Amino acid sequence: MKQLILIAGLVGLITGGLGVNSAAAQVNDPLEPMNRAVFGFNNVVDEIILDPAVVAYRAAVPKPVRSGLKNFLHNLESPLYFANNLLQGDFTGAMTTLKRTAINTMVGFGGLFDFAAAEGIHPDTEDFGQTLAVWGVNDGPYLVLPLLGPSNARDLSGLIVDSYADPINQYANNIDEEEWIYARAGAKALVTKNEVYDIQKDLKRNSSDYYATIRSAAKQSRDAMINDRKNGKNQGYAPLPSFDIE
Amino acid sequence: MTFFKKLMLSLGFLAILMPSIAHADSVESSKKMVQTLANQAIAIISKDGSSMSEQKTAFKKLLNQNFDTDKIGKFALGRYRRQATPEQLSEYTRLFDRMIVEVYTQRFQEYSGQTIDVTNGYEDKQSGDVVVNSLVKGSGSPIAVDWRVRDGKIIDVIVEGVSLSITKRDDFASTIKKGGGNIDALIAHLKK
Repeated sequence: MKQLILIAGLVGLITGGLGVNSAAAQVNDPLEPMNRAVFGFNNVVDEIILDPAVVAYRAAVPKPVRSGLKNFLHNLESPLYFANNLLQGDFTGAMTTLKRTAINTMVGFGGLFDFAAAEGIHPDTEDFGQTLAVWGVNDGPYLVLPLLGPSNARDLSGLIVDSYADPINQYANNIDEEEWIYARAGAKALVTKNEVYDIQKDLKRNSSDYYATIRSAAKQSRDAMINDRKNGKNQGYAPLPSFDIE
Repeated sequence: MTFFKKLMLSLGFLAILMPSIAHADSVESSKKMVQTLANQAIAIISKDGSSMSEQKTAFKKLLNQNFDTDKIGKFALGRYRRQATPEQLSEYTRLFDRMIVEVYTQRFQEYSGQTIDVTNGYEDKQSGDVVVNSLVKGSGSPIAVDWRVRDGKIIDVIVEGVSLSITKRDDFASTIKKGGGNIDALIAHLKK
């Protein structure tokens, strides 16, 4: 726990301290040349590994099994969602996570089935990057991470804290079974890629600068997550960004 | 109370009431417009045996009726619009209209086999625009799609917090910037 607080403190330093989140601000991208290079690398990896993997995954694995894997991996993240909801002071979100985990782990065969969602209990997915944002930490410079894709200084710090704090990762480390961690990361990459595959293809085809398109969409999407506007939650009455015709 | 006072008083009340009546009206009519548009769009995609080009023609008609492509195009060009020559502007507008039909046709095609339900609507205080909230439901978790309406026409579609108009603006700005600040760089790309 002490280490966690220490890391959180460091994060504050890295991301330039406390500040106010400004909605719909332009993305801060001082490292653009480096980011573009990493982005290019990620696209190559996408094209030669992940895209064919998704095509094979869809062909070889029937849909119910695919959603089973997705639900299972999602359920494994529950301790983090729970902790981050609490850290953000979102007790309703924490209770929702607890309910979902209980239902899906016990009735849903260890998380293979998302019965909670069928009951209308939708996930409140919170990570430490979002917690930092709620605490007032600015996102800092935009970063494209190798293999992991769009991020920023704040969310990268959050990612490090989350993977360190993850009880399953800790358990795997303790029993010297690190390959579990890699297997889980690999499976997660495939499942995530499968989810965004079509929309990514669409954006790639329809943009003139794919890098700038992803950068813009990633920032907007992340802001929506921080404001809990994903999956139809909190719909309505959010102030709009300006739409001025200059 | 004299007649004149009464008249002034009732006129005053009217003046207070009028905007709210007008706005409540535009929220309701916007919600209706989006739901009708969604139903028509899904009907186009779901129609058996229609070719891609038939679908596109039908979509184009639907888009021109419901979307303010002129405003969207101007917004997407941002501050570069003021630097453009009239020739560049008319070329851009023509290409943008073509592209937007393409983009939205594909976007709607992704919604085939799903339902779009309007859930809420409100007036954005700052801009005076109407926002219509909807949920696209398919096999997975529902997707939140918001429609921004100005002067009775759609100017933006926001999918899970990602605005198509803003994403396009950022895309275009970067393309022009990379091309040394010249709009021709963007026009060349839109021609492809």
